[in-house]
Amino acid sequence: MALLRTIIKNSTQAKLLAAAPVKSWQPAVTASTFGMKSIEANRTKPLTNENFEDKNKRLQRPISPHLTVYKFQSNMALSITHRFTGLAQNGFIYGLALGAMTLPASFPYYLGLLEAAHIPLVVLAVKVLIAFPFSYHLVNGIRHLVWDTGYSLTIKGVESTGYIVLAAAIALALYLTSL
Amino acid sequence: MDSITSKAVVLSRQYMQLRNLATVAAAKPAVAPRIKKFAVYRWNPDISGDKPHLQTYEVDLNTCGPMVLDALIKIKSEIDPTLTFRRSCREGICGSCAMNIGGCNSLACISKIDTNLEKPVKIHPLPHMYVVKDLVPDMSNFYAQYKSIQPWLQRKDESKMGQKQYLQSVEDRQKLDGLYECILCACCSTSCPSYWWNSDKYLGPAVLMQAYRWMIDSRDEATKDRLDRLRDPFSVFRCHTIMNCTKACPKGLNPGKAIAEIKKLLSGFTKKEEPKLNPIG
Repeated sequence: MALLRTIIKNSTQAKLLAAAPVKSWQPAVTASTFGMKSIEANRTKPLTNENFEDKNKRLQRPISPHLTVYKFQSNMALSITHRFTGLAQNGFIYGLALGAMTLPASFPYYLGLLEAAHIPLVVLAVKVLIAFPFSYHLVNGIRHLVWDTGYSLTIKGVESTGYIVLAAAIALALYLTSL
Repeated sequence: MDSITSKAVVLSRQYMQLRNLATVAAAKPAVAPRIKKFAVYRWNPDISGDKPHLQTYEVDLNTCGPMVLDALIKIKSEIDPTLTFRRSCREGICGSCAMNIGGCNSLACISKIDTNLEKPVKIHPLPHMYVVKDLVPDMSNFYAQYKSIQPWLQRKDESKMGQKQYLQSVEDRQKLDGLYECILCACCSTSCPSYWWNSDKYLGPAVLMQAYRWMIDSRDEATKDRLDRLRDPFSVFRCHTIMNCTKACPKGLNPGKAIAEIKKLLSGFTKKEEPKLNPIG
């Protein structure tokens, strides 16, 4: 072991290293050779304080088309229907409340007027129009709750539950209309 | 001398005749050109008063590669050199050529051209983004949002960082599958109607999936801080589970599910599991 150490100690390389210790590499030519200021290596601040919105408004860039070009798919359609049926129910309640406050007679009177018109199709249509938002929003709401637990959040899962929801909503609406 | 020259002439003539025969025999029968129309969104900021419009180009599919990017490059090199778009790897891994093709967001280099010659292919830039020129959107906001979620490993004690590998069990590593492969092409975020209407405050599926990737990494210890940074009505909760993101992803990833998992963590419905293997074990 000691022999090995002496051999290494006396080797040419060791002698050279002892004579002239290795300095860290310095470039021969730097920015100052050309009379330039040295550049900060880590500049993470942006060059200006202008934010994204202002810059794009200043350059008057258009916004790329969205609703007019995006392909209308089943998952989008069901999602927007959920929002619209929710708003529709909201509208019905508003209408009911406003009517109750402003109109002189009571609700059964107006219902009687509608039925006395003897157009059964109109009554049926009105019933379906009120029942469908309720049933669709209810069934799709259950689908949203299932999604919130994390289940069936795949392309196939969304598609298949979408069909189930549509079928169940129509069935429930028809049942409620028949009552 | 004369005989040699005449011999040379005869030989060269025979050689030329042989060559002509070979060329005629090898000549393919003329194939009818399959012309496909490409309607591409154009807007030039350097032309004052220019309005965004669709410009139609005709490409013979027999002389073009099968992907939409091949057609765009062919149009740029042979028909209109001013057509501007981003591209790099041509193999679906860099995310540069993300654009809206036929109504759906995808990468042009891995989208096959629909060979039905009756219908033109409509090509638009990624939806609801500021357009720099033609098919190039301004991605700065998207990148700033990615930076804001601090996409790097954070531990409580980082004094010995880099000295040893942080250990992770196979099971914990499998939790990252389907999350780390994101190439940040922005196809998902720009397909989300919520991101269209709220791109300044809602982070979008791509960034949220990466936030989740760092949250459930067993080696990361800053989960609580990561979640607290998202506790406002806009950053996560503008997601209404429309699921356009998962449909659009060209790499087959599922950002919608990742966002649902973030919501579960934020609400306290689930908690991050303890790492199966101690990272500094």
